[in-house]
Amino acid sequence: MAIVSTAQNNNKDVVITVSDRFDFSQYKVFRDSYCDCNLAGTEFRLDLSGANYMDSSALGMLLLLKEHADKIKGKIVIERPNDSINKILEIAQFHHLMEIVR
Amino acid sequence: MSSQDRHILIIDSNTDNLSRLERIISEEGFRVTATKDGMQGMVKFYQDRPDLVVIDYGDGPSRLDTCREIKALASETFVPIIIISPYLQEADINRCVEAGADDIVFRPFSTAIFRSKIHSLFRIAGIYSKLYTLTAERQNDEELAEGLFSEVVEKGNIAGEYIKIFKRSAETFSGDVQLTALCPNGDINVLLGDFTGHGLSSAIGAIPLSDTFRAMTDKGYTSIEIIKQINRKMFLLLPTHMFLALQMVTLSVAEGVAYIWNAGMEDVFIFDASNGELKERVSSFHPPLGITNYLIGDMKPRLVPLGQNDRIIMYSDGIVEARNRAGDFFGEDRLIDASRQGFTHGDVQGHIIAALEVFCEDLQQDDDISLVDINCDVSCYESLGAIKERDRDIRSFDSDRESATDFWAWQMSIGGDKLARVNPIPLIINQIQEIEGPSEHWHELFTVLTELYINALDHGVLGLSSELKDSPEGFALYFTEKEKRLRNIGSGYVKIKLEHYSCGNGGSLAITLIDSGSGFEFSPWIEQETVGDLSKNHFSGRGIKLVSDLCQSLSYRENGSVVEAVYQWSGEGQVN
Repeated sequence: MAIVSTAQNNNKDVVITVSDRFDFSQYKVFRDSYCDCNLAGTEFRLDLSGANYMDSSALGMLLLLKEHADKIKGKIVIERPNDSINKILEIAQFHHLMEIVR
Repeated sequence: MSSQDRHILIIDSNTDNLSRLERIISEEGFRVTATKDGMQGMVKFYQDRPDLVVIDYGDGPSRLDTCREIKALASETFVPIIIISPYLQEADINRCVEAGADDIVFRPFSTAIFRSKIHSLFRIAGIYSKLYTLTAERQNDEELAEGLFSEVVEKGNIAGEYIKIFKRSAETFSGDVQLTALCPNGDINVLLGDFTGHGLSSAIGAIPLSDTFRAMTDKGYTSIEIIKQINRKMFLLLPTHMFLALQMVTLSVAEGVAYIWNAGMEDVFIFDASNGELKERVSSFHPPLGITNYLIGDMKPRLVPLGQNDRIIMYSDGIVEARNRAGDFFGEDRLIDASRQGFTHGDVQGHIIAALEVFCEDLQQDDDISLVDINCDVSCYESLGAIKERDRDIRSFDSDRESATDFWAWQMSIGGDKLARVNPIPLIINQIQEIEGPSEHWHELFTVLTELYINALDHGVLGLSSELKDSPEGFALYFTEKEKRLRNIGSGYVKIKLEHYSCGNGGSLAITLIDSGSGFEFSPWIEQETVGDLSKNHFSGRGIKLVSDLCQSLSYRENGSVVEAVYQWSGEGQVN
């Protein structure tokens, strides 16, 4: 399974793990991984350590997750992107928009 | 389609089998054509265009040729073929499938199973035909859109001789947009945009993008104002997950510098084409546009002084992310190498595209490929712009002025924080256009007003010394200092007054600017002008020279805090 989400700490923390390719083909699964988490203040941690590819539509998917998090006054943290994914995040200057932890 | 409308062709050399099949199929309500001979079957297929074919394998492998021929005749329409046969070896089954059989029924078979296979194949054929229609419709839409797109979006591009644009789309309709336009003061704006995704949906923003870019460039808005507005438009228009990555270059013809923006794109390269040196690169310094309502932080363009051999290369990620069979990226290094070879042989695009094709062989590309190669020798662009060196035989309009039948006057004051945020010149040009109608002279007038206004603001209100601009580094420092002083502007102001007299088929505009500063050293510029041409290395003083070239008269009073200029024109092109 390329995308798995697990809730912790009384559903206050949601860890979404993306492996392999993070692109448009994951759109629905990715959306399903967070859309039912509506608890105010939820922190979404997106673990990218297992992902090796990301395209611009995946950046768009991050923006959708951010929109969802903002709506419920939560936050998102991008964790452990590999070098090539980090380069894409850097070109897109996404650190202005969300927290990225290497 | 009801059963009666469906037509089935049976090819079977055994008379008993043939009549049994014919009976089963007609009992289901289908129309039937039966033949014992393969060649005859093909003729029937060609004439009657049946919707399904049943072929008996009993006559041996030559029947598979019939199967193949029928599939070829059917071309893009899905006509299912059922093969009927006694027990077959695995290799024979494979051969049937390769020849195009969609199902195989072994003898002896139950009538119910045979019937159900026919029905299920018709169901699949229905889906195929729907898919075929949809694909054709989509293709038609995309072609239509692409036609519109190249008409509307990219038709207005300028200076193709010096700004070379290459584009190849991954699908018919591209998410990449390349635009060029001329500013009223002769500067050139070049934009390379990359919308998320491909196809029709990625292009919804393209027309508003090009409209905004062209209209605002035309009215003389600065690049930051244009980018802010594009961002706002894209924010309102695009859904959350879509955005516009963008590079924009303003080639300042008068200053010999480039202002470069990079929001979410690959690096912009600046090469010295004479030796292939990569002089500078401008990396992305802002997220793509359309994500947030306002630009983030203190976004400023990078300022790059230009030599006449310099070339700016802009490209979209499709080039560096193109892969070969081994899965490697084409990458930046290959792009830089190919550019250098291109400089040596005088064809940058050709070399880059050739290198890319050799690298990828015949693999299909996943992403749009865009490449823009800008010749930075600003003298190329001078003939395009409003700045034209010319001999002027100044003719006095004084006698005409007395007989002026109509005139108008207009003034505005702008002060405090508004000075930092609003550029009044486009507003003024709009006013003049409203009253006097469109004219090519407004480009020149725009230059005059901008120069006078910038001088009043920079040297008058803000008290900046133009000596700072003597070197390329100082130029950048100058703008940093300007930003700083604008933030603490206090009660400074600039007043602008225009008085216009129509004369014959032309007019005369008296311009007065008064600023709150304590005056500035203006005499060296005026004197320099009489001494001769300004040295090419001087980054300052060109503005005043330009204004005095374009105006009939120019004079400074009150230590420079009041300036008066008279701009004249006639209806037939230039004032001569």
